[in-house]
Amino acid sequence: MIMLPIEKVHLEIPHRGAPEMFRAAVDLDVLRSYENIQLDAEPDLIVELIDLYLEDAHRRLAVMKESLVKRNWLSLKREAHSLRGSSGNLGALQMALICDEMEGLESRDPFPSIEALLGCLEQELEQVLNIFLAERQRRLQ
Amino acid sequence: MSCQASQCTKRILIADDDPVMRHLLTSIVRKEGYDTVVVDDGREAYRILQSDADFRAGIFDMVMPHLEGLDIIRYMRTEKRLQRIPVMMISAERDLQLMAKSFVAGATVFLTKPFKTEQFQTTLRILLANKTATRRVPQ
Repeated sequence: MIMLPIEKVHLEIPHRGAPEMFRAAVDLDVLRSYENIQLDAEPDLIVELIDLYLEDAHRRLAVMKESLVKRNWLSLKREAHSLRGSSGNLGALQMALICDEMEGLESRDPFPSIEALLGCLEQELEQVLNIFLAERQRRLQ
Repeated sequence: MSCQASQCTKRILIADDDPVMRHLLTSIVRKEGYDTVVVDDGREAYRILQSDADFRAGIFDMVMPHLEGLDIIRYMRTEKRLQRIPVMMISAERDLQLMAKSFVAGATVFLTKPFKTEQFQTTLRILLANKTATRRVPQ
């Protein structure tokens, strides 16, 4: 049995209190690091990852909204958990951070706070969408 | 040169319900020169393992629908034909207790998300170099 050291990897999330201008929605270096595993004669991996992520993130957001309406905290947290994993691995750092906060929610937390957090997530996804689509276009040119 | 079946095969079973992570893991594993059998939930992984033990390793996400990664490992460790297959558990959880649970269940290595490609590659090489999946920790 081998125990690997636990360490904070490249999810270096800027401090929540940092000015808006210093908070990057996406660390493109993380995304572009996957150029190293691009296989020959295969479609652009990063474009594929972007497409999969955007489709999945929007689907999960829709499920989270529905879960909020139904007060289904377990479902809400499960979706946030999954979205945190893929967001972190694609460099969508703020998305990962918001998902992390959502995972820590309790059913006794005030409803407006949870709703506001979900609103933040939706806004952040829009920013990520714009950056990812620009990167996608650049790669396909 | 002869080798055990588990050491000869180049197939790796990957189970993750997240399409992004599934594609990423598959790409890295293929880049490392291995073939992949990919499923999107624990139940499907279980179904395959019931009739197919020809895997060099397994890579499972901890949280999946129907059957979680821990459940698959527990099953594998009760089946003699599957016991030799080393398993990498992946999770976005940073909870030490969950990590400990994975090792108790029989995971060989554990990797937390997010990870860098190099971290995954190193972990994979450690996993594949592990000759006995159920080796005990020295007392």
